[in-house]
Amino acid sequence: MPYRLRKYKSTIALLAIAAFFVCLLSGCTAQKENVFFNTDFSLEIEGSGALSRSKKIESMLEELENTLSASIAASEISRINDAEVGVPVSVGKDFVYLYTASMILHESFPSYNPFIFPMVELWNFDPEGFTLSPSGIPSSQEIQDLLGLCNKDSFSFNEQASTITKLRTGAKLDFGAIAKGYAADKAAEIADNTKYVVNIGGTIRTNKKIEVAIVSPRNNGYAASFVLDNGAVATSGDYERFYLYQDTRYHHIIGADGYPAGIGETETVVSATVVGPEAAMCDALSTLVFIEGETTKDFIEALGYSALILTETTYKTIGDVRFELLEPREAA
Amino acid sequence: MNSSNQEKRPKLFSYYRQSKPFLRADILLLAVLLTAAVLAAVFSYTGKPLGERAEIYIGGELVGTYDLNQNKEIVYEIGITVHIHDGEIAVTESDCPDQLCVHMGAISKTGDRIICAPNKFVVVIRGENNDYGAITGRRQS
Amino acid sequence: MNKFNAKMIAYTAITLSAALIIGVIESLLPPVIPALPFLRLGLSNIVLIFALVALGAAPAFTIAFLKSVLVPLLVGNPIMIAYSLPAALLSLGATALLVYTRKFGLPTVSTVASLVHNMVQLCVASLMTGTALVFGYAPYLIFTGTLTGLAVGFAAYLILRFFPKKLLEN
Repeated sequence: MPYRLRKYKSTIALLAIAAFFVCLLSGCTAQKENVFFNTDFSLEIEGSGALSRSKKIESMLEELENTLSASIAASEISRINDAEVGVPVSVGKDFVYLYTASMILHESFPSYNPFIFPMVELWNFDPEGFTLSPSGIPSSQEIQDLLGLCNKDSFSFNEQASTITKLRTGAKLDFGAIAKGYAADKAAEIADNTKYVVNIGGTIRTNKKIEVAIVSPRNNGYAASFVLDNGAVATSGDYERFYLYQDTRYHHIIGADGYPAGIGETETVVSATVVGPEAAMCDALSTLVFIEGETTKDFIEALGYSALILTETTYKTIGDVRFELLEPREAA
Repeated sequence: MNSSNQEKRPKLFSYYRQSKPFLRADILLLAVLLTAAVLAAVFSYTGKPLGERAEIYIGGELVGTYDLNQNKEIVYEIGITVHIHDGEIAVTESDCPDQLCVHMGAISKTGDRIICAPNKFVVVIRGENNDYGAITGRRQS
Repeated sequence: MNKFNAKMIAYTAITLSAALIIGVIESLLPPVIPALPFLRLGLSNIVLIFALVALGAAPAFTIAFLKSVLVPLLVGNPIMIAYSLPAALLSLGATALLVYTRKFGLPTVSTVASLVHNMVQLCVASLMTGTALVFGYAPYLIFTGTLTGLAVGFAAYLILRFFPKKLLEN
C-alpha cells in the first residue's frame, strides 16, 4: 500500500472515531429534580449543551427565587412588603416585568390581584403561616378591614427609576400567581433549541409534543388529558392548598371579596387549566379563570389561549385545544 | 540500563505495532462477549422488569434509588424518614412545620412525587410504563 | 519491573498529563446515565493502553492510580474517586492480562477493559445507593461499553502503530 494512502487511511480512521464520539455525546440528556418556589421543579432536556444548560436553569431559578420569594428576608418582595410607607424600594428587571404583566391583567379583571397578599396571610395560606388544622378563620370584620389595603392604590410604581413605594401601612405584594410560569418561560429561553420539558409545580413549558394529564380535583387519578405541542400549560385548583375548618373546605385562591373564590356557591370552579404559548400567561390566566369562571371566555380566546374549567360535576372548554375527559363530567 | 527490560518493553511495543488490529483469537473473545451481552439483554427483558423505583433527591442531588418491591425504612439526617412497603413509598416523619409531605401519604405510580419544600426533598417514582409526559395540577394530599 | 530512569519518569509524566486532560474533558461531558452521574465512559483507557504497551506495567498502573485520584480532585468531585479508582485499576488489570497473552487485538482488549470498567462502576454505584437496581442499566452499559471499547482500542492501536518509534528507543 502506498505510504500516502496509508497515511490518509489512518486519518480517516481517527476522524471516524472522533465522529463516533461526537455522535454519542450529541444525543446527550440531562434530568433535574429539585424544589423551587415551594414546589417541585423537574426538567428533562436533550440536545447540545444539555448538562450546562440544565445547571444554568437551576441557578437562574435560585436567583429568581431569591428575588421573588416572600419567605426569603432579603428578596425584593420581602423588602417591599417589610418597607415603611413612603420609602422607595428599587427593583430589578424580573420585578418590573412581573409587576407590569400583573397590572395589565389587574386592570381588566380586578379579581386578578397581586395586592391580595395581606388577605392570603390573614387566611394563613402563605407558606410561612400555612397549617392543615387552623384554630379558626378570619371574621368578616377582619376581612372588611383588610380589603381596603388590597388594591393598586397601596403602591406607587415608578417605571423610569425602577422603584416602588408603599403608600399604606400593611400593604403587601405577591406574584405567586404568575412567578412559576415566568420562571418556566425563562428556563425555556435558556434551553433554547434543545428538546425540553420544564415543569414547575404543574406549570409546564415544552417544545416537544407530549401528552399532559390534569390532576383530578377530588379523586386520586386524572380528570382529563390533552396533547401539548410546543407550548405551555398551568392549572389552578382548590385542591392544591387548602384546609378544612368545621367541615368546610377553604382554599388558597382568594377572590375579590376577600374570601376563597367561589366559596359557598354551588357548582363552583374547582380546577382551571389554561393552555397556550407562554407559561407566565397560562399561570396567571389559570388563576383568573379559576376566580372568574367562563366569563373570561372572550378574553382567553382573544389572547389565543385555551382552557378547561371543571366543577365537581361539569366541564367547560374554551378555545381550540381538545381535552379528553377521564372522569365522568357533564358538559356545562 | 537493565538489558532484559530494555528487550522486553520494545518487544511488546513492536509486537502490537506490527500486528493487525484484530487477531484470530479476537473472534473467540468477541463471540463470548457478544453472547454475554445478548444473554444480559435477554435476561433483563424476560426476567423481572426494572419496574417502578423511587428516586430521592435532596437539594437537587440524587441521594438514592430504591426498588419499591421491598420493605425498607430510610432515615435522612435532614430530619426525614421514608418508608417503602408493598410497592409504595411514603414520607412517614418530617421535622418540617407544615407536615404536607407526611400528609401526602403513599405514592406508587410513575411520575408521582412527594416533596418537602422546607427540606428541598423530592421523592419521584420512575418506571417504564409512563402514560403521560407531564402532569399539571398539584394535589396537596 | 521497569527501572524508573529519567526518561521513563518523563514519559510517565507526559502520559499522565495526557490522561488527566482526557479525564477532565470527560468529566465535563454529560454522564452516560443521568441518574448515575459519576459513571464515566472511560476514554482515558486510550492513554492507559498506550502506557501499558509502550512503557510497561509499572508506569501504566502508576498513571491509572494517579489519574483516578487527581481527576476527581481537579474537577472538585472527590466522591468520584470511589468510582474511578477501582474501575481504572481493575480494568487496567484486565487489559494487562490480555495484552501479555499477545493473542488478542487491542480493540478487543479495550472492549473487555471497558466492560470491566463499567461493571466495577455499577458495583460501586450499587454499594453507594444501597440497591441492586442500578444493575438494570447493565445491558445499556454493555452496549455503550462495547462501542466505546472498540473505538478506544482502535484509537490506541493507531497511536501505537504510528507513534514515532525513535522516541521510545534509547
